[in-house]
Amino acid sequence: MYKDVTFEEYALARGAALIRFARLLTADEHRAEDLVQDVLAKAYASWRRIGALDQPDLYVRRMLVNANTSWWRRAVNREVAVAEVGGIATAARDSAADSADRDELWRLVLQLPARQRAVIVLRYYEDYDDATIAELLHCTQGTVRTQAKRALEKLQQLRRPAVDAAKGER
Amino acid sequence: MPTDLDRLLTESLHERARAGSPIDPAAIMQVAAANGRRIRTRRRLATVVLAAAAVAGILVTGTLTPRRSDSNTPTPPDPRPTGSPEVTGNLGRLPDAVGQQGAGQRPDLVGTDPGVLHFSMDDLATDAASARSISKSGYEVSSVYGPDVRMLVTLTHTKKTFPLPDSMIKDLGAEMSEPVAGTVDGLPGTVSSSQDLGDGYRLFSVTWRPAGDLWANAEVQAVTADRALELVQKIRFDRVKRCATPFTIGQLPPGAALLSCEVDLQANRDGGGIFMFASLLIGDAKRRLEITGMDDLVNAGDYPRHLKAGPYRAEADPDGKTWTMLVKPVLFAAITRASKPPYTQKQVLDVLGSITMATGYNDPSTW
Repeated sequence: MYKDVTFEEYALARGAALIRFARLLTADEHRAEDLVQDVLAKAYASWRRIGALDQPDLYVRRMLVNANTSWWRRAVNREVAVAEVGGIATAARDSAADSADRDELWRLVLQLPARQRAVIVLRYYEDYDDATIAELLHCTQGTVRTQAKRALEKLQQLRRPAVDAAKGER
Repeated sequence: MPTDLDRLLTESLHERARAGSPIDPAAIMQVAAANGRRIRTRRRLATVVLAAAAVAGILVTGTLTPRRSDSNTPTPPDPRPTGSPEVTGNLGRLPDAVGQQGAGQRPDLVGTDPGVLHFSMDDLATDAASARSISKSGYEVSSVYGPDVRMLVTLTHTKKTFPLPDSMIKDLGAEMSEPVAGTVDGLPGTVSSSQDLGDGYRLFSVTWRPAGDLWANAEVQAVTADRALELVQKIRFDRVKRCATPFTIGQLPPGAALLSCEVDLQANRDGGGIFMFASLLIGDAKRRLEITGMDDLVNAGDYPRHLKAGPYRAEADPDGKTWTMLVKPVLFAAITRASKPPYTQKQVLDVLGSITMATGYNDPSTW
């Protein structure tokens, strides 16, 4: 999909989706936009090559994941706090327990390392299968499964005390 | 089978992705394309996408005494590596600044007027595929890219300015030889060079003082040093060009002035014209507003806008820093750069609303 379209057509069609994807990777609305613009600028400069790929969208998403991972590594090296929930406004909670669970789960997802978070976002938001995620992340399907398993285990582990506390309050 | 955690993850991520400000894909595309164009222009200058050819360069050693451009025995052109891009030949020229003196006569004027370039590379752009000109406080830059010439020239009053961010040396990460003394058009200078860039070409950096206290630097890709210096001597310091765009801004915010001008021309695009991109930076001591215009080849900016900007309609991007406007066929963006306080929306809309288009959109002589 999007093979042989112009950069402008691609960016218009997929810009919003890329921003939403980047919001999940970065947890920061403004950085998400900056990240997408940086990546699209680089994609523009090489569009003749990228646009001719079978799946240019997959390639651009890979650029996004890599750019975010690089930023994340640099941030960690500079000892910048990245776990803080940034610009994405927390949706108003309703009374349903599911909503509270979703909020809590999102906060826990933000505590995952960038690569694991990328796997989770690609699997549960983009609904990609492991083969596609492996292609996108330039790794084996085994690595994807391992990253996903570790991420889910960590989420379960982190989530249990929160769920227990919530049950105690009820 | 999906677990409770799977379901919650899916729901949570979709909920978060939808949260946040509305998204304007056209504004994102516009800013990305503007930045991408800069990257691509630099890359075009820096990396030659040609098939490698087994053409040996000549090491720059000792004193270089190039032939003068009016020599009766002109240097033959470089053997062109195979796979060269198509020669286009229909690239426009920026209009002359009539009545003004060039850097050769008035070196002190270089870098003092963002609307003017005090030198010309027109003689180098005869078959260029693209050309870019920048004039801003302190220096002037012009570059051409084509199958036979890839050169970036900077004029400045201080040698410390070299190399600029657009430098091919930086972009390529080229390791340059120690500068050796040479002469350029009879004037003393230095030349350094890289090894073969992998396509038969080498990068030469030539620095000299064409007039008064003025410094000039030319980064040029060529097969031989002689060819590099021959190209350098085609720069004209007795001509003055206007950094012209196919649109003009009629009203600046109070106290603001034009701070820099950049215009990119490109030949032979599919369905497109000569104008590609322009950036006018305006501002005062504290504030900056960049007005970019790009050829809207695919009608990307053709969507409803809700703000009035003079006779036009504009739209504010949710980021609060960007406004877009379409005056066919140019898609404009106004971007407030880091400044406190930034220009207000009203000021930005006043600037956008004052824009008028040149009569000959693809005829730079009318700009």
